[in-house]
Amino acid sequence: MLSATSAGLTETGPWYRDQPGRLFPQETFFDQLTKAGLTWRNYYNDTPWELFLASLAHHPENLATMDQFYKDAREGKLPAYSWINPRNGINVTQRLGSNDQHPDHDIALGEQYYKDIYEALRASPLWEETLFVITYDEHGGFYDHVATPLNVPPPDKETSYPERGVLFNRLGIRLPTLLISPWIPKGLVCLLSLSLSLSLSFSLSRSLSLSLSLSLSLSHSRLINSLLHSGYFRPT
Amino acid sequence: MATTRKLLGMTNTPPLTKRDAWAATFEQVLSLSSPRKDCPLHLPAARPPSQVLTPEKESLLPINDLQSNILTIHAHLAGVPASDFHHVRTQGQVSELSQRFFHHHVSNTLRWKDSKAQSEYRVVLKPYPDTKDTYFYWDVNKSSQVSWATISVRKLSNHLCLDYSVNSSSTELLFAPPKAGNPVGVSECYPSSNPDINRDPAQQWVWEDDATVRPAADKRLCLATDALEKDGGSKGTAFLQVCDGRAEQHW
Repeated sequence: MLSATSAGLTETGPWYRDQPGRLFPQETFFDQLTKAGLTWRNYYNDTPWELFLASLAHHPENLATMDQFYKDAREGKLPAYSWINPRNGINVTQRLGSNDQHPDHDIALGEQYYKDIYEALRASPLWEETLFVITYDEHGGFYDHVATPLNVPPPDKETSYPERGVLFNRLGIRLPTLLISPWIPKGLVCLLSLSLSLSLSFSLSRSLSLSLSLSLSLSHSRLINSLLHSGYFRPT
Repeated sequence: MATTRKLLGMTNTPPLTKRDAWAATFEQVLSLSSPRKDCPLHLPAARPPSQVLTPEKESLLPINDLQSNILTIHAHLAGVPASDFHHVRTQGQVSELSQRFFHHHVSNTLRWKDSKAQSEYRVVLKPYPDTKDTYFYWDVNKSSQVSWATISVRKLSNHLCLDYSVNSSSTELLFAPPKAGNPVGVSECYPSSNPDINRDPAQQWVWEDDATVRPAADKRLCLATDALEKDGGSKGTAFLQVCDGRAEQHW
């Protein structure tokens, strides 16, 4: 979702090539936004999630709190692309539980989180330029009656680790994703015509994420993307 | 990402990988000719928080793998040894510690970037000894785990390391490979002068047996000076040069 490759990593793990301390060096979508002259921000609750990417770890000027997100939404100052993470662990001081919807956390808190973000965007002067994408990097089960697609091009030539011999040439189980924008027809169940799948190569981090927004007018484009993991749409 | 490139008009940034190039896009679902005006301002209330998993109970759950990974990364970025967080067993212990490590990392990183951009963080060579100059002594910090050393200014509370990418005008140049002609100066050791922890390739050097000092990233280049060409007493500068055995490349 951030770099279109896990650079060989086959499970959740912190280091590139399993070498302790080595950040993931690949170019990310954030780098591309910078190159294109577009603004972006990674919004977090207590701390960001993806500092295993050098691209994020070395750009703290683009990391901001959710308080800042709500302020930016209210004032119409969201960047072109926003990436929003949930809270990965309870904040004891504030008595705020994790809203990342992992199995050991309260799912209701995640639902409240979507609601808060949606309502902030809906009330924002940028609403009509926004696409809010909510997606997940895990599917919440062990079975899918739809067979996973095979023979997909591997993203790069990295050798897999820690599991050896993984070719990254197949997709995973389908994931739910919500696309929210005033430019989408009411009641459209567009996902019936698309197959969404999670590639193994995207399982760098596990979380729910919310991904937000997009815009249609080039001069006022805003894309808010907050998710951790998703997959790709492909017409069936 | 492929869809976003279309929606944001990113025409000069190609797919990041073959998988990215293969992905189909979904911009076609944004099909209305004008935006809907009837989207609800408020959503129905979310379910009330769990009565079972109260904040007190959640704080006592064992730390999960994801939290452990995030904490490990944040600690490393802050230059904190593992012994400083191995006592963490429960989820309630994670957030405050992670935030402390993260804020430390952010301030380190901003200071480091700022020091690279400041032209006064330079190296000058002067005749020895000049007892008025407190920054005369350097440490070559070696390690048994990595092949390079950092070279830091002694007696400074905020450590400064020898660096071949100073005066970088943009962050994209921070990790550019070394080139002949690069001025050599100093920047904040990032995040430490300890070579095992240091993450800035421009601060990583090899002091060879032939008395040359070379960037670990490209050993065809040598640290060189023009001090020998100057009159006694005038200041020389330091820079990178293709290694060719001349006296100005020996230290």
